[in-house]
Amino acid sequence: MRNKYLNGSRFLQLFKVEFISGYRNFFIATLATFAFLMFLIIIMAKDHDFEDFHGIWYPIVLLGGGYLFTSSIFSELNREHSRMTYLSLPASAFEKYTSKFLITNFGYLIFTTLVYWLFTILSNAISEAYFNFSFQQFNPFREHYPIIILIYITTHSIFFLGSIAFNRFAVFKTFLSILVTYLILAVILYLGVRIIFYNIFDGFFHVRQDVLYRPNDQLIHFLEHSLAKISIYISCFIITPLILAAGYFKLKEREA
Amino acid sequence: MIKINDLSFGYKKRKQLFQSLDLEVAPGNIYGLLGKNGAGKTTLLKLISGLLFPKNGAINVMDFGPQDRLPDFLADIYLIPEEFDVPSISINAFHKLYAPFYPKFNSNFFDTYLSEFEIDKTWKMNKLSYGQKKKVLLSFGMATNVSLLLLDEPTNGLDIPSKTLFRKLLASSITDERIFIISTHQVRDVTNLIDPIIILEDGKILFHEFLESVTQKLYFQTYFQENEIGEVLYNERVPGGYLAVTENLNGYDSEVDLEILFNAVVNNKEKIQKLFKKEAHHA
Repeated sequence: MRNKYLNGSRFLQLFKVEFISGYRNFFIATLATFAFLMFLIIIMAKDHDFEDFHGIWYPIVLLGGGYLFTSSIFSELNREHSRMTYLSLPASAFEKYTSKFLITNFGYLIFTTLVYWLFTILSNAISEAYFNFSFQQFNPFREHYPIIILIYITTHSIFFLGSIAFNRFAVFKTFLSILVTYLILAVILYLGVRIIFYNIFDGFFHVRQDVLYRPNDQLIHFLEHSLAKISIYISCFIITPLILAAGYFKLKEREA
Repeated sequence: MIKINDLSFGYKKRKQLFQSLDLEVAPGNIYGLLGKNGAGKTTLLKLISGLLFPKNGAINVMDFGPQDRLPDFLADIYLIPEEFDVPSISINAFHKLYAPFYPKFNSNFFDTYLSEFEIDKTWKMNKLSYGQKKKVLLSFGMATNVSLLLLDEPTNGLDIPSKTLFRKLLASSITDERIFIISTHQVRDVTNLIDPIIILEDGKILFHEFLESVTQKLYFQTYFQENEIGEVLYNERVPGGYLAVTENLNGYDSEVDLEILFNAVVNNKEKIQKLFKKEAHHA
């Protein structure tokens, strides 16, 4: 009897199934995206405009495309016949979950970054040759790109959970859920601040003038440095694993 | 071996499809699961394969609980549903991708079955007709060599020669270790193939007998006049006379007509059940 949760050869086979069954649509979407980008590049190179093209478009391609792709990864669970095929496939829920996670997270990230890098080499060569204009070089390990990549790796889990939890229009419902969650958190945060720091308010929303103009240096330093770091650590090491765990249990529930 | 004890299941909370259903299915047989539309045939197959979970009661399939959906269990069963989605890949790619999930898969058998069905492995799955897709899935399912093969309306969409071929291939695939369950309402398509017969109605098992027992207890004959028949369990008009089923009082053998048997069981439940219970008790 093989391991009931994770078996190397079974997992590899499942990974192949995921990859080969879905590559056609993914390939078409990638081709369409980069054709559109090439069109933009040519227009901008002609006008010698927008040198930091990749600084804007790489995050859009990575985050936008990744969220769309991730949101559709469990769509087979929503269709009766494909659901039957998915559930009957001899692999554990953990293997099915993990293979889809790896494909949409690191798989998509590596693929997109590699293709984008090849695209920039090609597009820069064209713009230099025909328009005597070059865009900034794209290097995913420099400037703000590693942060964009970290943002994708951590926020991906939200859309992954959304794909499991929502039957239809998962990407829109996930965005809506994020918005609603942020609003609720903002209200709770405001009420917390209003209760704890009640003496700096002279109305329900209005902060006393003297407080506004005499900010506490320590507080500002805390907000700018320590709180930012704490937030990143909490997002990466607490919230993301929690969301992923919730996704796994939600998948088990949906499979039932 | 499949053991179902005291099974209850319903799609809606208030309306139960199965209530206290008991069933035992032994290896070495091709079971025919017959019933009207909505009798619960497909649901029972889904419960056995772990696609649905019982509300109450227990299902044991080859010492596995289907609802656990363990990979080793899933690798030893194969369900061919009536309606299905196929990936947009070639049959060759489908073979390479999915066969490794089934440890007992026999690629030579798969190739043989496909060539008998006149299907080319280079063809794209999604470009095939419904009948051709079904032939690919039937070939794949039989080649898996799994212990439990579940077939839901397998002859739907097959042309007449393919139905004959299907019966031939399936009959040659059964072994003492394997169980095939065929759910169908096209009973004529599975004549000479299924034995024993299970008839479901309104979520209950009305009838569960081997053909040998059926021929011992029932007699099937065509009569020219209705008044020749005597005490009949069921009869229906056919061209040139009446096809009737009566109690086999003389111990003669007759060829079982599955459609007449099905109608007799459904239309004359008490008498048939009493007859089989009585005979079983005497035996």
